[in-house]
Amino acid sequence: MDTSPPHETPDGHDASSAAHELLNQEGERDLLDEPVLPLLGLSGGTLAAVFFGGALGTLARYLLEAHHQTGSGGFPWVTLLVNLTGSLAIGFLVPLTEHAAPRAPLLRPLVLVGFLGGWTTYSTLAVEATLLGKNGDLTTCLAYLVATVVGGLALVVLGHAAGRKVMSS
Amino acid sequence: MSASSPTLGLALLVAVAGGVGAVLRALLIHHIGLRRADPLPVGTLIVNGSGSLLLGLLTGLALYHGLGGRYLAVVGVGLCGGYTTWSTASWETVHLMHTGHRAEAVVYTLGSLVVCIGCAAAAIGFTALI
Repeated sequence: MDTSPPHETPDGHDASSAAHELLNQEGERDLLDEPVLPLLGLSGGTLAAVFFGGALGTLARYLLEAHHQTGSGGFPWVTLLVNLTGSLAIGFLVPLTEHAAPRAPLLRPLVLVGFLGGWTTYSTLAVEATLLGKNGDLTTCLAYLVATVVGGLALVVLGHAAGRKVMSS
Repeated sequence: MSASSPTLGLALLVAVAGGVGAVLRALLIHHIGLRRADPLPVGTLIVNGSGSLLLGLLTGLALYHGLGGRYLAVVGVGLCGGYTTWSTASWETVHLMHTGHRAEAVVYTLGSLVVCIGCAAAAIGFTALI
């Protein structure tokens, strides 16, 4: 990881956010905000927030998947929807939560790391791509991967731009 | 994948497993990040690769050895789903591009796909042999 905090881009920042970043350089190696417990490295409050957010996000995805099952060889619409909305949300919420983080330190662990991490999935993406390939549906497999990657990255950028616009207005 | 239809008890188990997976992910990414100086998010890659391996094993066991839908729901959809993440991975790629690490962004995105699909395929292939 870089020494600069990877949760926010350094370009175009004002002095106060630069100072905030400097203050937090020690602890902010990922989307979490603080280093504490010697063994685990994260406080009990942070881990509890990640747990509850992760449980909620996973439950929401499970209920959606259970009610909209993709048949064998079909296009994995549900996982695509889950992952694309997760990309849009994380892009939008990173700038939105940036200045709230010092006042509400559990917000990012709860929403960004917990909920969005539980809501989105890479393992299902990998297994679905494998099964599509194994069944010979190479076109569907490729379309699925391109839609996830290109769509996901585009939506992070879009969400991030929107989030910054909201914050600067 | 066909996981069992949700009863309240099963849904609760899936949620708890998802929470446990998310905590494991946060701890691993945090500790691996502390030990590395280069910008590549290796922690997320290790989490997503290992989660894909486990879900591949479960999927293969369900396909070839009759593993029940309840196990697939709790350990597969819950634990593996809570553990692995697409949102963080896509954010990290965009962050790499924004900070001038374009080559790393491409390596990270394509590398993650190759590693995770490779892990899932190897695990499913393994279950077909046993």
